[in-house]
Amino acid sequence: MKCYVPTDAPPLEPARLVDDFAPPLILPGAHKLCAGCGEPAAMRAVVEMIEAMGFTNRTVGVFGIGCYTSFSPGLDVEVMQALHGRAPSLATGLKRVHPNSIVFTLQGDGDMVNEGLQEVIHTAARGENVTCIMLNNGVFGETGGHMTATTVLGQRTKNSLEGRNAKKHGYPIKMAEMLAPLDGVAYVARGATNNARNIFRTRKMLRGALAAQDQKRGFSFVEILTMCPTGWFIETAEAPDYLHDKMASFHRMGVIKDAAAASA
Amino acid sequence: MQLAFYLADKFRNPVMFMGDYYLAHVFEAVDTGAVDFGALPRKDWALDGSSSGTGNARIVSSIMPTKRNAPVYVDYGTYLETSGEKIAVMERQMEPMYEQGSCEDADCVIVAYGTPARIVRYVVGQLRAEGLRVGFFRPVTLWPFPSAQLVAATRSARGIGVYELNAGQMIDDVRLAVRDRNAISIGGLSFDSSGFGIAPELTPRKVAMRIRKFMAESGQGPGA
Repeated sequence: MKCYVPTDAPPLEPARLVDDFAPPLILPGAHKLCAGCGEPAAMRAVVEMIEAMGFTNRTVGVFGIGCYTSFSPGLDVEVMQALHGRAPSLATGLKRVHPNSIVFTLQGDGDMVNEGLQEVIHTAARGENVTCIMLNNGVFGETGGHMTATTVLGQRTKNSLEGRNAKKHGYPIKMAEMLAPLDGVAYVARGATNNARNIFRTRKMLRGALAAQDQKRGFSFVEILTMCPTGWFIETAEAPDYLHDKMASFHRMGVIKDAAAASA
Repeated sequence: MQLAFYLADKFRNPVMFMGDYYLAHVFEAVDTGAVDFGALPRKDWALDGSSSGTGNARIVSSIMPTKRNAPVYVDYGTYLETSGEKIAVMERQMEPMYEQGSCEDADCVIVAYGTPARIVRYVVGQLRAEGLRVGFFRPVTLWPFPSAQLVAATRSARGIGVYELNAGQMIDDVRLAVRDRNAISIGGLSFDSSGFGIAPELTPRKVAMRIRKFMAESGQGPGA
């Protein structure tokens, strides 16, 4: 019988662990989220972009409450924990005290849109020089997959088992499109982590948002669509396509506003 | 007010400053000069981004006490357990604040806080001038509550009356402080017809009536 991996001698190169591939700003150890979750890829894109842009030694993250909160002890980035939805206000205070720092918030759709919508709207309207990042999976993943204000019509959640119905549940909020018209907003984009191409596009969006902050052009916002097969009650492998077919057809991907580009 | 901010800064702990409806609707001259309470501890916990990428990034979180690579890793349960020690330290280092008047030989002490305490203080002065042996006690800090001071102030008193314009919020603290002695509520809810105006019960004449009635019913003063 043919053996593809010879075991009668030491391997030509030593075995590599997941940590060997982790970017420098992620501390050794595994994340604790479900298989197929879209959030770790988004988190990785954020810290990789911070490092690539040379912001490492002046970056502070303000975290909301959700599954992604569990990333906070595993990052070699300063983190301040906010209460549900209040991250943009904490980020405002931090940025005003340390105007040369790079401040980003990491929030979910439940945190930002359901629990603290006014915080992000006022922060955007004031034109605060911070970057808000919203991981949008359309459910309250951490508490078990309940409907949020961004759940798309027809989407099954724990409390919309027949699919979200506009008559019964109202219409979803398009966060990126809602914030973009505000004068204080410099950059708005929506990406996704359902495939390598979209992760690459999302990294470029993050670069645009962080550059807007660094150049003190105003508020920047990146919404990232992420998979939540657990909360969506579907097979893990189906989640990337589900995201593409159901979510991205309503929450359209792309750069929605780039004030510098528009005036240039 | 400045002390509240100083203590919050010193202990890295929220200090709640309680107001009442009157405070929101009246104004008077106050001294806004800065009060020096001494030096504050160094803020080596503060975030400015400088520790990111060093392998020892700081974290300020109510649920994740340390980073997972911290030299001394603290989990949430341990953090909550040690919070109890911190509270004990704060309680030891903070003096309860209070105000009292003519309690030394009082047959009856009226306990009140906030704006009603001002009216009570005035009325007690008036009743004293008439010869009634009445005192007043005003807790300034709700926590630590001036329990020992209240017990000392009411040592000679046979009656303890609690005047507060609500359904009874401080009376439980007073009863916990004086233990086996009965503290009686002589206040209560008071609304005007609009529902959000000033309390019609809060006048010196009406407060004096309540204190006289309380003293008579508890067997003290004239009419006993």
